[in-house]
Amino acid sequence: MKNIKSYLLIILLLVFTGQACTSDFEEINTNPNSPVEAPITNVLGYVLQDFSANYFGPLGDMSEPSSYSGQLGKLQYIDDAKYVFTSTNINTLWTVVYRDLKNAQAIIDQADKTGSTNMKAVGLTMQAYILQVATDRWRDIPFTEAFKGDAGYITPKYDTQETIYPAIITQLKTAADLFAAGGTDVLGEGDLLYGGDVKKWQKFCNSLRLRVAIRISNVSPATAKPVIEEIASSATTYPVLASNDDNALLNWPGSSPYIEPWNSNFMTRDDHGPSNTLINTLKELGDPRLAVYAKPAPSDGEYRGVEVGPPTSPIISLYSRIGVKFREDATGFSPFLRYSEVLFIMAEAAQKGWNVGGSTAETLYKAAITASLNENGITDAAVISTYLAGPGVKWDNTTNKLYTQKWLSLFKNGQEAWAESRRTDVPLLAAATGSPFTGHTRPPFRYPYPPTETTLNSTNSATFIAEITDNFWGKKMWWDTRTGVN
Amino acid sequence: MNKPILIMARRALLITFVALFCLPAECSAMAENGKSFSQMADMEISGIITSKDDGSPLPGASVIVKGGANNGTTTDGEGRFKLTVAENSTLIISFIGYLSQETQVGGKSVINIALVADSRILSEVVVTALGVTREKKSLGYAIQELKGSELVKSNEQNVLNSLSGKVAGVQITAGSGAIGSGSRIVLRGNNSFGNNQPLFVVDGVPVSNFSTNTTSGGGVDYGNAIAEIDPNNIASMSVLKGANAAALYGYQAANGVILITTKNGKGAGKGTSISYSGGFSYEKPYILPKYQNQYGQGVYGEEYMWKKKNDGSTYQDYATSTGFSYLDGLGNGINDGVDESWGPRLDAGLLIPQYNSPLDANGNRTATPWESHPNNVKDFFQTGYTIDNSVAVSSSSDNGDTRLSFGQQKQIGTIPNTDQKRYTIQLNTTQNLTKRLKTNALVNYVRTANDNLVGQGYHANNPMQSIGGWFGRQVDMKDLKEHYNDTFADGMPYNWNNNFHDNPYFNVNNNTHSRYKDRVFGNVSATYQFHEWFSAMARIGTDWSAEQRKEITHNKSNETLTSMADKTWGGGKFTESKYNINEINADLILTGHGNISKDLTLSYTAGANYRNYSYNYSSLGASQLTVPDLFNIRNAKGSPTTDMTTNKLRTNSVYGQASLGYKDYLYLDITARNDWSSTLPKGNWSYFYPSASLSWVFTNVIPVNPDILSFGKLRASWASVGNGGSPYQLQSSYIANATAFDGVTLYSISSTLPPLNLKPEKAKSTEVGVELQFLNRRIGLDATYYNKITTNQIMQVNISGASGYSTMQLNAGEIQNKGIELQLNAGIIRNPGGFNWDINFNWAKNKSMVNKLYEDPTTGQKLEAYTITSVWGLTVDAVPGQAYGVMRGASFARDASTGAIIIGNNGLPTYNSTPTAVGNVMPDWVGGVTNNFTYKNFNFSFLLDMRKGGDVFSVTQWFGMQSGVTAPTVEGGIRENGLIVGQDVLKDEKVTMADGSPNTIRVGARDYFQSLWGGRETAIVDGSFVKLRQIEFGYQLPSAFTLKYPWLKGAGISLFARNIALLYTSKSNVANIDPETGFGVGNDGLGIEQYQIPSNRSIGVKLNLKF
Repeated sequence: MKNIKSYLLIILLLVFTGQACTSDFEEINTNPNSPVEAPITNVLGYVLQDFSANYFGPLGDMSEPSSYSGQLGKLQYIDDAKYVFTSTNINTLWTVVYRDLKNAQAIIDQADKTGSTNMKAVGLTMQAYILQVATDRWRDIPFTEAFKGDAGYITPKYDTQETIYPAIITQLKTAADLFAAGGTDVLGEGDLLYGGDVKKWQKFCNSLRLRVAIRISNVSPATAKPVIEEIASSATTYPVLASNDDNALLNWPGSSPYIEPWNSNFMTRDDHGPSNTLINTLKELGDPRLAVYAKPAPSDGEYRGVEVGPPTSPIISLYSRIGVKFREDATGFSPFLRYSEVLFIMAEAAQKGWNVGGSTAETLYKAAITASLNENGITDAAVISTYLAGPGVKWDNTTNKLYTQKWLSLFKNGQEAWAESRRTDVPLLAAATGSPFTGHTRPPFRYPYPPTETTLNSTNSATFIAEITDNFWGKKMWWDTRTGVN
Repeated sequence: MNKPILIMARRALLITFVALFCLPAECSAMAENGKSFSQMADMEISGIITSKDDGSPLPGASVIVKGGANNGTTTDGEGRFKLTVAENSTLIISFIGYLSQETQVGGKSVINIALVADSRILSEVVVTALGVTREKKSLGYAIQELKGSELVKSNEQNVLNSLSGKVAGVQITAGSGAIGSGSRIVLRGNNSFGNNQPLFVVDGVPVSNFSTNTTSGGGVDYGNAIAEIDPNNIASMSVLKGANAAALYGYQAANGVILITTKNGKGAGKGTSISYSGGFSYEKPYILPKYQNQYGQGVYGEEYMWKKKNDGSTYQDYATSTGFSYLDGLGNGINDGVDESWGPRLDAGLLIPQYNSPLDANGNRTATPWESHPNNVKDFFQTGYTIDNSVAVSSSSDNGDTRLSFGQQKQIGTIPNTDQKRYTIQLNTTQNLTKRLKTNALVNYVRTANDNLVGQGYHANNPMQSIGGWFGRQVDMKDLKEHYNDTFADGMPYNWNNNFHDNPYFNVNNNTHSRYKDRVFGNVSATYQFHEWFSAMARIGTDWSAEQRKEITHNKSNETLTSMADKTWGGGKFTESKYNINEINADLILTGHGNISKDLTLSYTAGANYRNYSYNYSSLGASQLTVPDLFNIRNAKGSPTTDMTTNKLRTNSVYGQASLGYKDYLYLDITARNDWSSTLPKGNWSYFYPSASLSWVFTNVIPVNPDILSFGKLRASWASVGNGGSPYQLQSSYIANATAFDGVTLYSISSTLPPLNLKPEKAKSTEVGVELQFLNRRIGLDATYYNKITTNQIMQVNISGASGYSTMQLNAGEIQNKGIELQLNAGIIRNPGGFNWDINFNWAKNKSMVNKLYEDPTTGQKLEAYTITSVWGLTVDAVPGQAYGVMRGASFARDASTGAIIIGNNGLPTYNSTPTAVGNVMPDWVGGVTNNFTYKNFNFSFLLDMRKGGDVFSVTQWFGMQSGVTAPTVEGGIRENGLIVGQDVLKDEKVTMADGSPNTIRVGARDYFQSLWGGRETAIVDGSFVKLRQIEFGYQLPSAFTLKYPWLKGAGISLFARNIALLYTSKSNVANIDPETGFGVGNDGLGIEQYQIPSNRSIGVKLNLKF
């Protein structure tokens, strides 16, 4: 038995040895691949790139919003133009929105901690931008409990668009005031939009405030009017984009994987073309942008737009393709917000009789069209004045021309063009004739919720999903004041 | 303290190299020679008792004199015996698990006997945790062992596939018919949402079963590392199914353990011998989807659509103006860009311009006969083959034994240009340095080389994605083969379609995925036997591998287009990845055994383990190349793509086991283990878990008639196992995009939410079982019931994207697996020396329930479901209160009261886009039946393998209907006459118009089948099957022959066929896929079939020689 005692001692020794060997556990379990903190400028770069790649790409823009807005049709693979959707794409777009909102929040929080005023204002601006895109697409979405998974909100509740819009307005005002107060911090290498030019970010922020305000100008003029008038009356505190040089365009490096998304799609596919609505409108107006927006049909050299969502696939050689500037440049751009849009918003406000600082609606309208033409390389004053005097363009104090021109200027920003066509009902669009959902008089009012919200957040999403008809219709956007449409 | 003991202990601790694996059960001493009572002339005889199966000696076999009462002996460790007997006596030689044999002494002084295995009885001595060989009757848990000889009867290269249908409670999902594919093995159901693979232990040391998961979306399946073990070197495999059997292996063993014992030099008996094993087999696909051959490529070319248009045009005119007419394969002709078969009727005398029609003077395609090629998909496959050669030299003496083997396998796939070569060298050597000190070294070197492995799943490099799914049924495969490197006049590659696909031959010949892997694994150990009660072993094992993969895409592949419109390409692209994985296990193990009192025996094991795991991955790639098809990083055009990952983890453990035996009928085992895992937070590093099991051989206590109930045992056990999870899960981190944006690194918050205070995962399991043998062991039954609850699972689950994260690293929840396993063996006809028929049957039913989910402690928000995998909007989920693996997806909109499918005003079904339950991936039960017949030296066996239930979402079926390539899209004249939903299709369903009226709207077949995109139900295939898995016919050279020619110690030949036939598949399997399908080893492919590479039938011959 003596021996056995000794052996037991050895066993105990082993136990002791085992325990003693945890000294370098913490070091072993320190992640050598990824940091716990990253420079926020690089996070800003991520948000800008990620959002652009998805929301200005074939998936988030070309195939769906740009066709719902009547600007692009599909030549091949026409399903999405007929509202036959791929549910996984919806999951992706939903996830992208929220991860970008979350990363923008990280920028805001980190900037707050370090007192980086400029960076905080940039973070608030980007977050508001993305939030508006999301609510304009899905209407009611998780917001107050959203992107707070790390605080335990794993099934966030939904908020209505009626509450989200005022929150966006407030957030942008905060950002605008931070810019106005001025900070000393630099934005760094991750500012892919303006290369660190804080002044331009300030203009972008205030211009975005105009976009948000004008969207709700019909449904809630009491909220919208003071925003626009405040900006119009204090150009130094709240400057807006003042020329095409100020345009918020993300320019792509042009090498894989950072190729301009429309071009990236064009490399391997030939699926999209300008719609018949777009081509016909440009033709009717004698618009010099026709040759910029479109290429003639290969078969006969005619500019011919394809129907959006016909029952059968078209013979593709008969139809125009998208212009070189927009789709055939790997180093092309993703347009967040352009100078012409600012002028169109001011023109609309002026026409409503709101105080925009003295300019008339007509002046602003003409300036807006000119800005858009200039942006598209049309700078010949004679060409421009001829165009402005044309019967379809000449200012007649109706919203129809204003809205048509704005719609034309928004080319390549499908998200915004779709929102404006829903708000204004201009141009007048019909639902795709090949749609399996019969009986609708307009293109989609909204976008389907992702299936993951049913499988993973069903309690909160159920009542909102129930308000949808045929995936794309049903309850309209808060700011969609159209009547008699379905 | 006793000094010599201390010195001895120190010596034991110091020995850390070369060692021996001691098998305590084999230490049983030779029985004393019996005393002879013979009245005749006595003589001394000697001999060796071997197993007829593989010629290995049988230690402990009993040799007794017939009628000689007490005269007898047992064989020693080398199977030898000596006995003094009367010259004319008869010997009865018996050994557990073998048929007894009688032989006349007849004055011979040397008597060598080869015993025939009795397949009725499962091997009674089994290898258990830590390599300890135990009598099966003493175990309180279920364990099932397979002999090496059972694994090498066919040429199966992935040893896991050989287990299929043979072990109760084991579900093997063979990857596919593609060479090198991994196999998924699950013991007793899915316990986790993360890793469900068991631990693999080779000769006592855990080895890697590394695999890179192919995602549900597809990719290249590089297989699982366990397949690198040459089946020719395996002596036995023990399947430790539950946590109970595996508790000693701790955190890695929560899903069970598969113990592999390799052959050693002792197996061949004393002296030197050479054995050779060679096999050749050829392979052909045996389950292909059923395609239609009535309509070719195009859109709305159905006769019905022509009749409906009714504009006076002929069908010929209609066909080329509306259905299909080739111009450039890019969509500029009439539907010549589509990859669907909804075009004009085949073999109806139509003349249509096609991609391979001759050009006229103007360079336009002339119209040529529009004809079917019914075997075009089948024609794509070639006959594959497998050559397997293995030579082993064994030597054994009193001082030790050595076995050196060399194996070589070559496989040529059924997919053209796919292959695998594998070379294995194994050395297993034991030296008895002194009477007490043994050393053992075991080294394996494996080289695996693939020039090309095919892409799988929904992947451009899976040829089945085009030819098996999105295809023109009229296409002649032979024509594509002849011209795959040619181009058309416009510069586009020669193919039936240039819009979406590569020529399938261009694809497999030019877009290759190669892999070269070197792996060394093994261990060295030293054992010092101080005393019967105390022996110490020090062992260090490693598993080291270096692997290089290169995936290249040739210029002019569809993926390399830089402008489809301008017909320009980027020169090709490639990625080269390197994996370096190393795992070190060091153990110190103390064992001892003996009698405490006359009736009480004790054996114990105590040990400590150190495990260090490291994983290094890096890759380089280029998305475009300056000089086309020069796949070097210096030739990259634009920024190269790069990546790098390092993972490290360490665990330290101590463990102990004590086994008490009372008389020969009651056995108690207790184990305990404590782990310290580096992956857990500081306060939670250490965690402890125990197990206990009891075995009661009641037939040794209660008197029963042994002719009726020969053996009876009850067993019960309880165990708890912990798991520390993967490294770096404690904190949120920022992840950099793989490529910098113009030099700017893009950082984002990891999309995975980390758990707050990570706790070890716990699995608690209870198990009861009974083992019964009847009618002199002619019938045997082994039944087990188990109940296993896994809590605090560490796993990654999908959460609502609105949380800002996509997934969450969870440390909560509770999954329960309950099940029954049955094994039944029956000797139907027993005639030693004559005809014998045995049946082995196994059956298992497992029920997985998700009991609880995560509830956030601060917000109280609860997770509603875990998504295990998803594809095409179909998710495989775990929902609380429901079985694991619920399939959810969009489905037909149905009338709430009648369940009838609601038909829209266009005559087509309507759909709910919000997901509803449409199936479940878990099978109801799995089972297998082996019938074995022997007659003298011949044996014949066949194995039926079956499964009931277990739904599969078949993308082949789903898209095959939408693209119009599969048979159901033409059945019943629907393309000639159109169809009415509810009458011509969906016949088994009730349908109704929204207003309750019957549907009378006639629609075109394409419109109906393409509408199926809206839902997932029509693609859910009930995974039930019955397969004739294996047939084997063998002949073993009789011992008379080998005795005559002593240079030949044994010879056998067998003919075999594997995967012979799919005997039963569900009616829901309209596309005729192989319902037994999987992607890779992880959970991603669970229940999802996406353009599977057809499974192969293998027919061949195997030769075994021993010199």
